[in-house]
Amino acid sequence: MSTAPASFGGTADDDDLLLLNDDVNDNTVGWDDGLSGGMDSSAVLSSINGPAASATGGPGAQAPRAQAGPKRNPGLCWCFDVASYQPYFNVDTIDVLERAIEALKVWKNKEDGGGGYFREVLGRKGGPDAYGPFWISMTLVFTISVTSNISNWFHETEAAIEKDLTSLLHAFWVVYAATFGLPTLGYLAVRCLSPPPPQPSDGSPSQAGGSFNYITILSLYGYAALPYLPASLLCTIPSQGVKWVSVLLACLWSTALLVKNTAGWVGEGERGSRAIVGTIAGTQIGVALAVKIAFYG
Amino acid sequence: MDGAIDTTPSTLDEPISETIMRDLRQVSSKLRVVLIPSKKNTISSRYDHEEVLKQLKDWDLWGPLLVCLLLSIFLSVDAGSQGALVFSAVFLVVWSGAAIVTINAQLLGGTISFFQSVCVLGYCVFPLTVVAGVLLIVHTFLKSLIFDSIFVALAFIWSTRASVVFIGQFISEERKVLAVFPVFFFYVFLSWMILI
Repeated sequence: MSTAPASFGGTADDDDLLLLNDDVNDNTVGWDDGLSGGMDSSAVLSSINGPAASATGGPGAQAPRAQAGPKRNPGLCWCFDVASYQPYFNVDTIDVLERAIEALKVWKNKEDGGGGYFREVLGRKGGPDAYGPFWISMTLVFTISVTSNISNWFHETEAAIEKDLTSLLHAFWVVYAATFGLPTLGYLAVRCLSPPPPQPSDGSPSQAGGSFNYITILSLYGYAALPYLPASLLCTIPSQGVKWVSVLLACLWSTALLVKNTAGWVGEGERGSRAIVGTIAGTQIGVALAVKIAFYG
Repeated sequence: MDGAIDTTPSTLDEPISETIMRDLRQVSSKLRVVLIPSKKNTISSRYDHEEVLKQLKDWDLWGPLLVCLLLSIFLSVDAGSQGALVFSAVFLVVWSGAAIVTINAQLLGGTISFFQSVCVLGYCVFPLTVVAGVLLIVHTFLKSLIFDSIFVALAFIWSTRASVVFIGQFISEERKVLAVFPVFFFYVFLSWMILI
């Protein structure tokens, strides 16, 4: 196994190892009065770092932390640091598969009968992820481009190759506008148009927006793009009827997922949620029409 | 350039041909290491992996650059009037694709080094480059999609197998498919560009 460390931090250096004075052997440490017991800390420590680390009585005592590794200052270039995005990719293969399957089950409701089942699924384990949206969109770009070319190959001409490459570019713009641009606009709209949350009277920091955050809406839109994958495969069949039916079905499916999961989430009152539902449905229909007309003629 | 610290000052006086040959030899040895599947039995193939990884720690970007340039040239020559567009498209896809796959692996918690991974992914494009060259020659007398597809499929399997084995070493078991899918996707993308 290669020992090449991750290029961007995340590995514990020796300085940052949680070296704890071995309280069992030497009683000069004064800080352990506040702890539940030196033994607990070293037990925690040894489970993280292995027996060798806790056995070495270190120079200073540091409070044990849940993760090894230095706590870094975000600094100016945090957006270029891979580690700052890692929480959004905290999923295993099983999780992604499970989320993909649950995203297709639009008919499922939460236990209390409300919508928002998929948001609940997203909240499990590592939280909403950006892996699904990104790679589903990439696959969709490729699939739409390929199937668009295949369905147009019945009219093969000299300009065919340029059309192939530019269709890739067009597919890229359309898909990414739909799966990344729309949720960004939606998030901004909700944030700007809804009243600021009331400040709690006891001075504690207010929970801005509750559970409405950007990564959840991004995840939602990303997984909602899934029905378009089989639809684009069906569009290789040279029949206008089949193409229209499959694209509209995909649109319906995707809109259903989005609407069911956003209706109760934001928008106070009847008018608010109707406006949101209307906007989402409208934009999704627009996207579906764009996909059908631009790529499958 | 070749990753090793040169303590002998005499390399400044050597003829250029020797300098170039040294780099070419390094590139070709890495190509061989990455691409030739081990014919030994399973016991020694584990040592082969260690050997491969040790040699690949010495990453360089000349090899991938050569491979990428060759691929772009072959495809742009074959594209006729759209040559410039195809050339830049292939170049862009190879380098940004390798970067995206690597960053994805890192985001999933893999302990992979950025340039090492780009290096390996670049080297693994070599079978596809070879096939692109072969098809360029074949297209002068035969244009058959089925024939092209068979060759490209073979090269694709070869490329993917080599790089998936490498990437898989650095990712935890639960996320391996998540990291491997982009690699697979990257080579499918390149194969598609060769086919059209």
